[in-house]
Amino acid sequence: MASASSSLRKWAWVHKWSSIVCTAFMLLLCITGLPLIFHEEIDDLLHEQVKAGQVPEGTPLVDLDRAVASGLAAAPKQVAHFLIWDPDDANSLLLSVGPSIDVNPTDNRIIRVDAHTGTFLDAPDVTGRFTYIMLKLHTDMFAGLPGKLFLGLMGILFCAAIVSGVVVYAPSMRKLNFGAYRRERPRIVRWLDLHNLAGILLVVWMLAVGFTGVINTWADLVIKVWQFGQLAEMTSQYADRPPVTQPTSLTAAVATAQQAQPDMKPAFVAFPGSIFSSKSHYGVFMRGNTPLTAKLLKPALIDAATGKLTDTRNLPWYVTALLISQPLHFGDYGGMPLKIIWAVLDVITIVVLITGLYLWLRRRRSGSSVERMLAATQAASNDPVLTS
Amino acid sequence: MTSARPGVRRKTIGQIFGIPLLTALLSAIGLVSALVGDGIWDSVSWVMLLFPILLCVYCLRQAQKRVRLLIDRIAEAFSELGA
Repeated sequence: MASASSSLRKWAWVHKWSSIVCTAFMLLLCITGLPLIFHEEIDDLLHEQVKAGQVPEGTPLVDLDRAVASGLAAAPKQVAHFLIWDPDDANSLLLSVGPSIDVNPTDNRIIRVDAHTGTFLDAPDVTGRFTYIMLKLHTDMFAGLPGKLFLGLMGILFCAAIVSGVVVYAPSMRKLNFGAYRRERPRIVRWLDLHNLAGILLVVWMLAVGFTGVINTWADLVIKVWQFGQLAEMTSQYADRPPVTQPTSLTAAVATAQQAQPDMKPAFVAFPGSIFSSKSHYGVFMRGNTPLTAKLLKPALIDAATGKLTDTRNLPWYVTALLISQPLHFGDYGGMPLKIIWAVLDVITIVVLITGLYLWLRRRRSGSSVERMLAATQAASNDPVLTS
Repeated sequence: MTSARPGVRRKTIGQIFGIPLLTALLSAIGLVSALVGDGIWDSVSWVMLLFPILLCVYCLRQAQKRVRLLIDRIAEAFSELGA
């Protein structure tokens, strides 16, 4: 019994300290994450966007080299990093451009091109947008990779707080029915009940979103590992070759990749020299046709000097884990109802954070433990009328 | 109310974690199902993830009803005192 209660004290210690350290940042993440669930809708509402021409289904795409050329014509002195099939609109292509091929693509500009005519649509500057500011606060607090990794650490503490919270939930509920909410009691009791109830009901969702968020903070590192691992392996015989000066046709490269993977669709192309390809290859990333495989990618490397397929392999497990963790974090994989549920669960998480913070503050102020205070209020309410 | 009174039998681990475990299971199904497919799979996901939200609201509303009962009883006691 003594060892059980001492281990319980250790769990309570973990719950207290992991929560204290991460709560402020978790509040920031929950609050900035809320509008991000609806980022597309918010952008649509706040910003005008040139619509791509509507065409009947099955209309062939424009020649991709022409689409890239017309995109680049609208962005003097920029080079193309990626050509992306717009996941939200089959009628437009997105060209990601930067001032040179070896800059960090997170600051790249997106140019939208009509997928069937190849005409330039627009190149909005997103950096001033509300959703962009929320996203930056949410992912790295404008502090780059260190900020990202720091938030990942806070996410790990959040997960520790959830797990230890489950352990300390048991003694807290020993004399109570599930879902007990003692409404007539002082706020500290009510908020403890609310904290316990909402916390225990959301355990799996909070862990899922918390942990996939942590995995997302490692994205840059995962990509680096892939670059020096599988990608380097696939292109090892090209390592000493000078960069390609006259790359072959992009349209032909995509067609070659399509031939190698007839059951897949192109998701994006990484141009030679960009972070997702080698200096001498087009990296054509194909995705599957089912809801699950559509999240997964398979790169086909096309030699940009000859236009021939060099290699195509499934991505290693750590990149697959990253790709699957993304929808689980964003909640964007089950239509608008799922987004709304995501938002409600996010708000309930904020309630858990705030009630937890309040319980800790009250305990600090009075210098006694929550348990002792509960015992005191319990004694006070042992009034025959109230407990009848 | 009665459950909070001292001397009441302590709950077993099974009683404490029964509903939380069920909720956890449903949430896990909900998180995965929309990932696996569209259409019906999405709907399964909505229902499963709606469960903890509705259960939370239900528990809070039940508490409200119990308070109303309590207030009625106190009012009754006072009116008896007055009589």
